[in-house]
Amino acid sequence: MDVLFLGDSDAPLLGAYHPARSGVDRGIGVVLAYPFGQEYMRAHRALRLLAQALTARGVHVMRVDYRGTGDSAGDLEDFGVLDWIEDLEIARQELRDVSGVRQVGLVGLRLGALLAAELAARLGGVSPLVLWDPVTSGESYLQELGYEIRRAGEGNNRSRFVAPDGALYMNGFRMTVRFQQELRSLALPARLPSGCARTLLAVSHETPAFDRLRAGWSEGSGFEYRHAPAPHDWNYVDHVGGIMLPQPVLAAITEWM
Amino acid sequence: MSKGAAVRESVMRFGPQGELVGILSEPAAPRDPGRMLILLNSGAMHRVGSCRISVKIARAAAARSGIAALRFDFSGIGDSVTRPGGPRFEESAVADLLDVMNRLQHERGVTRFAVYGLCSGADIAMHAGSIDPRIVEVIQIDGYCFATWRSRLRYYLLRVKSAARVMAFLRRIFGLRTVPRSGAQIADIDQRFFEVPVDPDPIGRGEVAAQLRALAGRGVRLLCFFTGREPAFNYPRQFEDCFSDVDFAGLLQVVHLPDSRHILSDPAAQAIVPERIANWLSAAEVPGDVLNKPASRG
Repeated sequence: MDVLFLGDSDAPLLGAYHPARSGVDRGIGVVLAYPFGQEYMRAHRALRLLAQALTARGVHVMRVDYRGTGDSAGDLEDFGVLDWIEDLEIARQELRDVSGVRQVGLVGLRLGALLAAELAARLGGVSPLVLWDPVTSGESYLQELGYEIRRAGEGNNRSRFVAPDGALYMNGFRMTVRFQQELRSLALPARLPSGCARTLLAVSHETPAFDRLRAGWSEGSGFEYRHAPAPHDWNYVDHVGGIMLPQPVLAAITEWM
Repeated sequence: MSKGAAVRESVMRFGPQGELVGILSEPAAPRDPGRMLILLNSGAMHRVGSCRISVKIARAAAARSGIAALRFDFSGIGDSVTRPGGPRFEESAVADLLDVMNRLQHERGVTRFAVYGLCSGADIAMHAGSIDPRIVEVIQIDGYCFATWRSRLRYYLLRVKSAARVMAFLRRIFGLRTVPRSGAQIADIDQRFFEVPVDPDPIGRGEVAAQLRALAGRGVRLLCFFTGREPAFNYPRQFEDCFSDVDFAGLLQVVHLPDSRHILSDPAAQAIVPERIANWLSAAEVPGDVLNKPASRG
């Protein structure tokens, strides 16, 4: 694995490149798209292990911290979700450059899945595309966060609340009004994005939204659905810095890939 | 790499095969190239720290204090590879830290280190500081502290004043309520899918006092943050009362953040902690051959 800074040298992104294991190199790559906030913190290890497992299957992998997150430059408050979609494309290009492969797909978890699907729809021809427990629309994600904030007790919780300027605070991470506005413009398309030769919807639990997505995308060729029961609440907090590892989903994605 | 004009960041690898991964934040105008801040992991969270606090601290130290800062992953955490042989986490973590310091001393001439940790990282910072004289400053968030008669009194008085807390206490006494103990229980995640690298073997007050005495005896500066209001820490002078048999020689500074959670998820803690650490680092020159200047209590 090579850890590197990529993109604009004045505001670089932190990437981790996992080359395909020699001897099984299939000439394809994927960029892993992280979720938001505390979910990113808790999912870092799972996505690293997924990257390692995929390299053993001959896939080149790039993980990237979006602007204002992880080790990348800047503060979360300074960027919108559309910037993060650009970051995924920067990472795809970097993966092409460092690995030499031309076919670079996307694997996204939660909000990362929504961003991956949006980029795939814009570009066309992105394959493989894996959506893991995807956020199906920005609006539904904001409703989910709003529910969690209300459940925590508005005004009384210092880690989950709505600020006077409308920003959402969720377990240590601030989502600005700009971020929310951009997020509202995003939703998974009703039909499979064009040119996605291979697409996987991998879910750890079943919901009506996943069922609708499955029904709509099943009409496209190259679409598969896997249900691998496992924990799925990445927005948890604990007191020991523990990490959730939903191995059944990792195994399902790796096996499909 | 840069973050604005004030801080330049780069990737560093440590170990014979580059097994350990770290990010170095360097100031544009170093104030003291022989001194560096090292930030440790908390539990299994990777090097960016709980709620990204380590990134904020590192950049504040570089930009505001002019001191370079390295955040790295212990073996088996984040992007670092597990050490062969499977040593206990507490052993491998200290060995990792000493390896990193050796390399920084050899290649960059760093001879004085400030070491920061939250929770398990705080314990490792203190332990390493008690055995390695290059560590001249230790910064802890929710490190070891034990109940005192005063903390117990405050704890129970607060509960007696609250009918809801009295009822919860009675339910627990009569077995009608279970208090979550493990991280997995608190996170409400099936233990099979939950990973914690820290050995669950806490040390006693006597051993902690011995480590603190070793630090103080060498003139190590100590900055301790404590969060919350629970019995582990619930009044500003509890740490000094708990370790009244340790002579800190004016080198101790304690900051109590009663309204903050252990993972620093509130915006106040996210702002205060990097600022206080940067100010504390700026407050002393920490020369290599002279013991540190006393720091006033905050």
